[in-house]
Amino acid sequence: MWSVAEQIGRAVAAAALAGLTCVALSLAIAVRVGHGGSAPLKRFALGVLELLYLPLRMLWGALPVKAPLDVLMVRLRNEANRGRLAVARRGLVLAPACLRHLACAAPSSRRGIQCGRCGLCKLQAIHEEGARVGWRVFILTGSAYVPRLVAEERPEAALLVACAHECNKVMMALGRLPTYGVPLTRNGCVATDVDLDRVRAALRLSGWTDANGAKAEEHEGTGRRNPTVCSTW
Amino acid sequence: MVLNLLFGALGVLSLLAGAVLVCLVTTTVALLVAYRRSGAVAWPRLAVLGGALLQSPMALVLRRLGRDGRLFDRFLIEAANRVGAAAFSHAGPRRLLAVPQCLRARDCRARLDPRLGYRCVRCGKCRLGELAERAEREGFYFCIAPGDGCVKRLAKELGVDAAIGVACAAELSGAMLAGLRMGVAARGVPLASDGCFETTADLDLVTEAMTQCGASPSR
Repeated sequence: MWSVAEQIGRAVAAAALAGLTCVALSLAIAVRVGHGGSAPLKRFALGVLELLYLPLRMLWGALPVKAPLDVLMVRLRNEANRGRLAVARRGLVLAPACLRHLACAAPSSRRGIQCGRCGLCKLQAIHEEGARVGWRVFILTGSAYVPRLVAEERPEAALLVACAHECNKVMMALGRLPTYGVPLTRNGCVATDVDLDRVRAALRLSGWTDANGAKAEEHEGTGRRNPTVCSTW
Repeated sequence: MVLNLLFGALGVLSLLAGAVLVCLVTTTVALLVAYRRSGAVAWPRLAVLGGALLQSPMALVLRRLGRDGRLFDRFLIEAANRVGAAAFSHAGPRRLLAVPQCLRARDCRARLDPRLGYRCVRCGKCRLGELAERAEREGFYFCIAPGDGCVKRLAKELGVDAAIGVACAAELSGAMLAGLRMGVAARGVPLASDGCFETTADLDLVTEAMTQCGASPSR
């Protein structure tokens, strides 16, 4: 009986060691990618972090990692999806309603806020950037819109603008759809802010080409694609 | 020799832990099935423990299977409500009722206050004006929240003793578990229909929760 317990103990120790190695490796990959480096096994690391998301969130404060888990996961997924975004021609830009100006009077609808393009907030610029690459822009008041819009629009990719937590949550929920996240620079659900350059850079990763076959950045006269243009997100 | 002894002990402990885990998972699934049939959660503390442990793998499995995770979220909310029921009924006088902005009418003209959320003008286009009046009568601070960040900020700022949260089940389940961890006396009322636009809630459940909050004298 004791020898059976010993065998089980050995197996458990081996499994625990393998599990801890997987978690440590995934965290190391996430931190490296999060700091602008490159690493293999990004999808493997994402799978491990996604499976253990809630326990890791609870333990995160005790781990010697400064960046929030959501931020690292968004960056990791961005890097993992970069290649898939480059071939996507039909995409959605999902922006949060909290980016609106406090005085915004745009009405809500089943497909999000109906922006009047008044220019009071950055959403007008995001609309223009989306239109430039042929991606539809939706301004959402909550994440429950997302599955409905994805089912209706059947995009090949989606660009999410939201706080890091919501970005990561929606990216996890969208599963196999290639997604790219641009976290807000100011959170708080009211009068938030985003770096428009990051939104532009992310959209330029898309597979859009103009009638002459030129890529978006070439269209703007910025020359060849810069692979580090979106390295932080 | 010592190593063999350690592995043996680890084996025994693992068997015990495995048995406990299997029991917990089985019991949680059984409680979930019972909740689906009856709408009531037996052994709520066990349900919260099992639910909190299973929430992320369960969400992953349901997503992969293309199933709706709302039942599991509602199960967790009901369990958390029952666990926190005593603290909720003994709560002090500083109370907050937070409802989501998606309960508003599509042509709502309420002004958004960066600190306090949407300020209802009681136009009668939706039922939030009526709820706001009732909440004020019951001594609740009423907030139409544009997002959960606003609720957290306001709850901290007001130093609330108890809170009633109305939201979609997916948002509320996480918030209720976090509330239990932080020792907040909270009651969650999931939306009757969600989708972030023209949503609905059972307002009778909300008024019932307001009546129950602090109904028992303080301990």
